[in-house]
Amino acid sequence: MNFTYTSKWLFQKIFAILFLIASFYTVYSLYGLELQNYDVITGWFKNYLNSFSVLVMLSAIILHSNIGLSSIIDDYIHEESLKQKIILIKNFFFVVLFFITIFSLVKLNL
Amino acid sequence: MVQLSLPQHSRVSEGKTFGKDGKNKIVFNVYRWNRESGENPKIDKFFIDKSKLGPMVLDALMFIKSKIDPSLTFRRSCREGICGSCSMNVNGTNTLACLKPIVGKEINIYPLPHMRVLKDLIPDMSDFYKQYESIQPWLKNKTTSKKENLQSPEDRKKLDGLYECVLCACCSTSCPSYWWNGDKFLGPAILLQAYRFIVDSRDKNKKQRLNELKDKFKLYRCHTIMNCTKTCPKNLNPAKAISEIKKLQVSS
Repeated sequence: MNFTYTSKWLFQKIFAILFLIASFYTVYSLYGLELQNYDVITGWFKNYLNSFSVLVMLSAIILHSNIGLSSIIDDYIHEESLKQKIILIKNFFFVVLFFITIFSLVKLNL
Repeated sequence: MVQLSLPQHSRVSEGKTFGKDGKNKIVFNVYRWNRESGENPKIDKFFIDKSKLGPMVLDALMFIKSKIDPSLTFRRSCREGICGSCSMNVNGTNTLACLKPIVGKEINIYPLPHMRVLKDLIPDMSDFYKQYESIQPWLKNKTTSKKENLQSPEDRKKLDGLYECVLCACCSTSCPSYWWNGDKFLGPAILLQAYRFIVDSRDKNKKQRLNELKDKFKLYRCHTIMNCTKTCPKNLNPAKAISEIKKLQVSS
């Protein structure tokens, strides 16, 4: 696939919509639960649909933010070598964040 | 990195005062800078009796130039919002001085922001015109027919809100993205012009024009801040034109 900036722009919008849908579902399904109770919350995560909605929500945030932050870096950092370093750090941060998300969700479901 | 503070030689100080405050007087604070003087820019104050002025800010500037200080420098031509020459920043908003009525007791007049100033209220528009040239603002059609190139009323209607642009650069110079990346981002005025040729049914180069804009700097520095639409003295909507280009790029 020819991954032009147009595709990135489109994906950013799609991730924003996915985030909205998943966050609405998450808030709706959490509504009425005793949120201070640890067992209730871990029990909520054991439902695969709930875990999946959190996975979609957090992944959408990570991917949307990744594109958005790249855009901000392009806007304000004009020195090419500095820009590359910052993009590298940003990508590393988001990859770590994504793996923490997956790890946490898997651990909650085991 | 982006430079957030003004360099030492760009800091504006108080300049001369012409006339005195009084009943029915309006004060015009006008940005003055002359490269040859080697001094920093200054703000000159002109106290003028309102009854001596025409209704628009340009009338006041012409009054100042002809009656008070002939060294005041600004561009103007048609005096009716058609030529786009007298674009400047009046009371914090980019506009055409000939279309901006004199309202209130104090009027602040500056050149268009984030442009190199040549003198007083005259910005250097050469980069802006080079960007305009880069989108090839003419109809590209391989036909050799000598007949008139007709257009249906529906196709002609698509150009409404686009052809009226007078290239005054008020929109481009109100756009923060254009301030930071004016060398690479085409800016709202030029993108509106690009869209004007993309949707023109007589132009047969739509695909190439869209491909030319498939660049993260030329087009995608627009973050829909909408300053362009808010400031346009001709009430056009460059932000909409930009979003239409983005839509066409996704669908083509």
